[in-house]
Amino acid sequence: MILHSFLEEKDELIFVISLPKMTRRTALNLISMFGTPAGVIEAISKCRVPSAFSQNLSEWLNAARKYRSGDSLSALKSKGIGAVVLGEDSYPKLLSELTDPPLILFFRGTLPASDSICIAVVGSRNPTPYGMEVSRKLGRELAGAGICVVSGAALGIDSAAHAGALESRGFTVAVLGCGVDVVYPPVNRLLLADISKRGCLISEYPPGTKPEKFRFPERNRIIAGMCTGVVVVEAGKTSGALITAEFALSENREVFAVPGPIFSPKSAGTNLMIKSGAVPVTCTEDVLEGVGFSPNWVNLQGTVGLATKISSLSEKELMVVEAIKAGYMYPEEISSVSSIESRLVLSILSQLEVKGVVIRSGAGAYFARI
Amino acid sequence: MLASCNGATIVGLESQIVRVEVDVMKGIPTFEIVGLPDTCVRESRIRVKSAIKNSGFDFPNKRIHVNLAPGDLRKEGASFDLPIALAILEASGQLTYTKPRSFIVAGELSLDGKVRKIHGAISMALGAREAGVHFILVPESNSREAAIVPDVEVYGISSLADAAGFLKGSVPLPRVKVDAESVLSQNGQSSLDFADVKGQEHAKRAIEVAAAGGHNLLMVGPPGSGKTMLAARIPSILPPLTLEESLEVTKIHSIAGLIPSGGALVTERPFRSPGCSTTAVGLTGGGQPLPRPGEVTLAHCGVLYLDEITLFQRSALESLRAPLEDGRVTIVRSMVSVTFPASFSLVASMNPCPCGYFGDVLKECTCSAHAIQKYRSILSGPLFDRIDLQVSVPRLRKEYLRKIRPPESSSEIRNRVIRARAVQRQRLLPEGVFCNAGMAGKLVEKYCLISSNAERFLWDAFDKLGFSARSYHRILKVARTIADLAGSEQIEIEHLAEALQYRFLDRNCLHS
Repeated sequence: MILHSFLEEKDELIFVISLPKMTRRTALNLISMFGTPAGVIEAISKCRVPSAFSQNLSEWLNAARKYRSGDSLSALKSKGIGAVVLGEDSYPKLLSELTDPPLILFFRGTLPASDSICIAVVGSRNPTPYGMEVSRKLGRELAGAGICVVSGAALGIDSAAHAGALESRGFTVAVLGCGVDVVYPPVNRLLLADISKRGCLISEYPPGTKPEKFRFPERNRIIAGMCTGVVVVEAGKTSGALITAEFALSENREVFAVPGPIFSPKSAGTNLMIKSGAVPVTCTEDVLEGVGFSPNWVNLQGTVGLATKISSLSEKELMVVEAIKAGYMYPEEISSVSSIESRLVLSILSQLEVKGVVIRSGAGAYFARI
Repeated sequence: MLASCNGATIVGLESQIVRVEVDVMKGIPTFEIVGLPDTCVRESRIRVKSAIKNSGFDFPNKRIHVNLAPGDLRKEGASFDLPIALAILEASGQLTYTKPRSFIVAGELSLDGKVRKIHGAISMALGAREAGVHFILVPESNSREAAIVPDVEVYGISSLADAAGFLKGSVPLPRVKVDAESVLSQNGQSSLDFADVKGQEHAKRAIEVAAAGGHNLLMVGPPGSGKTMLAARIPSILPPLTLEESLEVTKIHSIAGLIPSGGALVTERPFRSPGCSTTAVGLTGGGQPLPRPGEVTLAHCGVLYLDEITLFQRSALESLRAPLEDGRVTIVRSMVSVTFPASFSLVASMNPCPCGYFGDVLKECTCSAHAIQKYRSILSGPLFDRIDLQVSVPRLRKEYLRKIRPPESSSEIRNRVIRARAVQRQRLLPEGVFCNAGMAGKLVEKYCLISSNAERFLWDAFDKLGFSARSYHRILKVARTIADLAGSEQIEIEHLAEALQYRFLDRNCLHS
């Protein structure tokens, strides 16, 4: 009954949800008390809402008196933001099966098709180069295989997964813990803009909501909820990615973990997950198989591209690539191992990076993508 | 009886002649100095009195007035001891001149009548030449420095008795002569050499490029990776000082009292490394009553090294903006306005993150992503915009450095730098700019000619590597310098590709 009213009174619902300090639970309680969102608005404007509900009743009152039907949707539209309510066809199907689904999702970009397979790639915000590269690879290859890569747009693993998916021109969804028009974290401005153009930014919070600590675990519930499987790439023992994995487990989703060195504190969480039964990931196919996706027709664009790139390299460039294969190497170490002059190594490294064969870490070391 | 004598005080970098007038008359014995003396000048009463007594003269037990003219100029420093003492001797009838009266004398007295070192002797000599005086008397240990100025007779004195004797004509003193050019050509070599630094070829290369194009440089690396050691050797690869530069540097260092006793000319490019607690005034100069040169001026023609730049006060860093832009600092006070030259290369260093071990191969970083971001945010200011090159100076693993080549000596690198600078000077002469770093936006477009291949590569790089638009001109400028080092007319891909390596902090990536 309630669901039905949502569809008809979408605008009213958005208005109620967007009231200051409104939470999902309060909104639900109000709606069940007064029947429909429109009923809630009427009740607020006639001061019939018990004061126990909120300390912001006077603000609500002012807003409700000014409200005219259709306002909320047109305001959203002018900002380029869409909204989908629980029960609509385009609402992510898996998400609606949660015990406590978001009543409404705000989004920028294109929502994933309701039958598309979503897989979450999540992990530490402060990863090692290994984690970054794994995440990027998974993002690239999963998206290349036609899967929607979901993550949280946080620094580190999340960003790498999105970036990887965008690299292979695949589809990616970022679920945010703030309004979809809020840029957080600020350094990800470009990435978020890219995702909104070529993928989708989703949030259950109304536009303008600031990021706050308590919203992120709630956000993780949506990430896990809309996905068939969750891959944790790198996570310490207390990482938020483990919360996502726990949600996923409780909602009966497939949980994967990428193994790491046993000495690395950044892999302590993922290794623990494997020990207690998560599926270890050694290649993208592991994930695809785990969610019952036939890997036969997989078009791993990124990797194929790389092979052709390698064959087009000059002799010196190949020597440099060969030297980097040892792992995380600084230019001078590369120069010493390959016996190529330092200045030339620097020049070659930039060119290799533009070609997408090597990656530079924030501290200046390089690693190869093969 | 009345008597007078010429002393000099320093205003900014210039000296101004101060007339010291003494009147010794009958009355209750006092000793007063007027003419805006600072505490130091006022205290000279004690030194002068003892020095006169201990040099075998009598201190007149009378009323003594000393006036320092012009009366509205603040006088500082102990260099007035000697002129005051000589004028008292004359006024009390213990000294009669046989030498011409037009001269300048400066020196601090010790209680036993010896003469001590002063600051700014070379400026006084320059002032003396301008005023056309016959000769100047300066402390022995400053005499070589003052004698660099041609056309001025300089005599070095070691005691009050010496000075009085010389003026009387009873003590002959040799005229001090120094040939500045020969001093410069003999001692042009720096004592530090890049050959002492094994490894860090990457950083050395960045330093070479910075030196060749006059660019400012930021080194990023964990503690103990050798940043300071590298920075201290930068003067050794800069072109040698010209005589003109050397005179200017000597003047500055003389005023700051940094010239060693008996030293003449500063022949090495200065390397200044102020600590991170240095204030804005300490960097740009200032102080009461008359402004003194700060670290930027002391680093004139040389290198200003800011170790751990993130630990400096924000205001101190902001104050570097004007000198970096104009090559000089102007300090304006209600009474005086002073301009100090301050054209230096800025070299800064910082840790990659608060704990220092971000990206280190031997120790794990314990910082959160947010902490690193916050730490680096200090670099977003306008100062950072004036640093063309960034280089990471990591700690390296021994096992990868087996085949290390013997390091190049500074003189080899310096030769390349000199060549590249000559090319730049020729190219930029019509614009009144001396090196690539000085090019503004329009000049960059005009002179940084880039091959069409390289241009395509540059756009590719901007697209894929996430550089900010601000770094565009900087990359081109640095690529121009690299091409100059390679003797190439046009900027090719390889030059551009290397230049990209020196802009990593602009890029949007924050994983170790």
